[in-house]
Amino acid sequence: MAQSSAGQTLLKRSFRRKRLRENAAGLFFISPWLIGFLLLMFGPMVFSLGISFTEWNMVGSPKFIGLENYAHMFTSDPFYFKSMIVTFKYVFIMVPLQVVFAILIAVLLNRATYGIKFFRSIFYLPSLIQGVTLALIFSWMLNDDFGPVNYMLELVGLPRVHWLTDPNVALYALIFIALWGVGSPMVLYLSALRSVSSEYYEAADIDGAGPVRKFFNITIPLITPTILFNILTSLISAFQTIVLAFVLTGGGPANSTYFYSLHVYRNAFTHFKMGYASAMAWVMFILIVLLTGLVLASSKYWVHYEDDGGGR
Amino acid sequence: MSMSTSKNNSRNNSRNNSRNNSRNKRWFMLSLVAALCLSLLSACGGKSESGANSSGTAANGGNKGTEGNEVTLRFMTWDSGQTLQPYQNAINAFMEKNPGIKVKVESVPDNYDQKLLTSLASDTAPDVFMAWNYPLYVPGGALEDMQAWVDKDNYDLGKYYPILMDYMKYDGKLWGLPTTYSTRAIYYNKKLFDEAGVPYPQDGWKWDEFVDTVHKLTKPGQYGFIMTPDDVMTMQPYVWSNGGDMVSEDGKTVEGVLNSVENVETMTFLKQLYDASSKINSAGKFSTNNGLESFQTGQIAMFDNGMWPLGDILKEGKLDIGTVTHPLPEGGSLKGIIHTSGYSMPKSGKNKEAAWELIKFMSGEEGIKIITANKFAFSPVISVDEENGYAADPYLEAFAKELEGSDKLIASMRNEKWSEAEDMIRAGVQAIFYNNADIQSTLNDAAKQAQAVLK
Repeated sequence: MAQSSAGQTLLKRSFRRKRLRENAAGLFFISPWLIGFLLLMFGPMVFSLGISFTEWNMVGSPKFIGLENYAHMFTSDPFYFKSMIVTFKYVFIMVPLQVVFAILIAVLLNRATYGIKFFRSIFYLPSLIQGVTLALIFSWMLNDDFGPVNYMLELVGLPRVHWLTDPNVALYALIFIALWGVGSPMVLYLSALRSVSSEYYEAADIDGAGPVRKFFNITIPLITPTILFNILTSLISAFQTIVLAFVLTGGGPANSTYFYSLHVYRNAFTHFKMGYASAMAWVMFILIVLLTGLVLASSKYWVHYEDDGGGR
Repeated sequence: MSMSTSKNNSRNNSRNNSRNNSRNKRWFMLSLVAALCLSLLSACGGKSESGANSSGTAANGGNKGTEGNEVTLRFMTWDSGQTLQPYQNAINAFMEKNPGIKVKVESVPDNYDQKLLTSLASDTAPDVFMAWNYPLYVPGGALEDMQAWVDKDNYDLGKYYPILMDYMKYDGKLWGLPTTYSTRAIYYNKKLFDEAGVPYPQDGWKWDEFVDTVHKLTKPGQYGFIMTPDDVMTMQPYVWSNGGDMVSEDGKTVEGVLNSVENVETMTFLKQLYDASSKINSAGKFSTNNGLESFQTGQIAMFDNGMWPLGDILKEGKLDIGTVTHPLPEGGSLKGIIHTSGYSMPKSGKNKEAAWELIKFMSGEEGIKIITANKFAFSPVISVDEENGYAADPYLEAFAKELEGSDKLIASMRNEKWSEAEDMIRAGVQAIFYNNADIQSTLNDAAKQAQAVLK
């Protein structure tokens, strides 16, 4: 009895040492990122948290006002909830659409057809163009009077659409443009699809499953880890979206694309209310952490890791 | 029995392991998430710090500026390229006249206020800089009060237009000497008027005539005018000429001022103008200078702007244009809006003597004559403006007339929080233009919200 417990502690110790070594190796590998974070981001973050309790226009010294900035947000800023709603709308339409499109394209490109490599490159290519360049391209594509998109609509007898200038349309136009970047998640799905073992499909074939059944019962469950990753990253970047709206609509028309991030930017660099802008950024930060936490918590009900399925 | 317990154990272990795994995964994900979302926050902080650092080294490298030794001044402007050249010419003339002073020009076309504020906050501001938004810079206490320098030299401020000097003041003190100025007027494309058989507009025309003209010049692919709810600032000439205002003289009261009877009339006219003109325009992106392209390509017949694009339009010679003053309401008088800026220096400046010499030269007769050559801009010095004779120029006459009746400061010069109040008013105007909201009640609400900001 005593012997075995001594053996166990010995085993535990060596296990712990191994664990430590593994952790150290892990930390070493991510150290460039960690050091960058600590040196470049941690300081400004703490600073902005401090500033969020003050009134400060960059000149002179910040004036401490306690929680006033936070109170203003929820009680007397008429644009706060408006911009929040616009942002949520964007996120909850954009993210699911992106996931679905990325998977669909990946599935199509996962076939061994002639010239498939060419098509894979073609479908990935657009996502190399991002940010301001993308926005400028689409400002011409969607131009009311001489944009190719409206021209093509007219050719097939449809009315011109005021893509970026109609308050009821502009947000959807931005979502449409954002989906342009679907290539990057598509590549992830493609590699996930390719790592699904063909044995599953063979077994399913024997059991007489059709392609639809195979897709939903084998393919989708096995790529759920990639879906989770994609949802998390695009959720976060969608909440912070600013470039497209900044360049294309400036938040208009009639504030229909006035994202939360634009409201932060406007308060910081038009009204020079650094304290208020910092407070808003921190609320967004907390919100994003909560939402991603929620997604992660839900993941145990729908994400399948091949290795922990049956317990080794 | 023992078999089953060991099985149970191993199952427990594996469950623990998998839980640990997923916990690690979760922590990894969470920290990844944290890093990603904070990039938004730190982007702002990082940018301002690097800005301060780069200008910091430049300031330390500069000379301390004792008499006799050579002094290097840093001069910051938002002008760049072609619009910088006139200023550069004047600076070259200054350096020729003052061999002991070298001037290094720093051109910051983007995020000017941001750059200036960070450099002021970190005591690394340039020795002389252009400024237009005194209510924004003054409250921090980083600007040099120019009155002392004016008094020291008995510098004559009487040579400037009084209304321009009002733009150099905030809180009752003088913060700069004027650079150049421009009013705004309406440009029109003569060819489009001829095609439609509509007579050219004449100075002193009326609001109804304007709306009527816009109607006549609007057809598929062409608009008479672009009116947007977004540019609240340039609505002020209309508001003023009808006897209204957006905020009280002291910049403190909006309620009862913005939602006055006169302003309801003005807004009714602007709404008519909006309905007659391009219904939906390049929303949000049309501000002080946009619309120029549409005008140059003949898509719009008239557009409202300062004198800046005039030189280029005339030089290209493709458009046959005319200029006319803003239309007036019945019984109203012309009250133009002024764009101007000043030369200022920071309180913490190390070469103030030399900086003051540069400012005097640039804003005085000699410098201003160089800068305003070739119809680049109007001169704030009355005698130079007269000598240039731009008021008699067929294209510039309208702009000169706009100045004559101008006796009001734009609202943003009256209160440091105006840009935020303007957001509330803009939202109101948008509701009126886009959604046909009731004008009186919308202005009442906007006034209330704007008042809450300014209190």
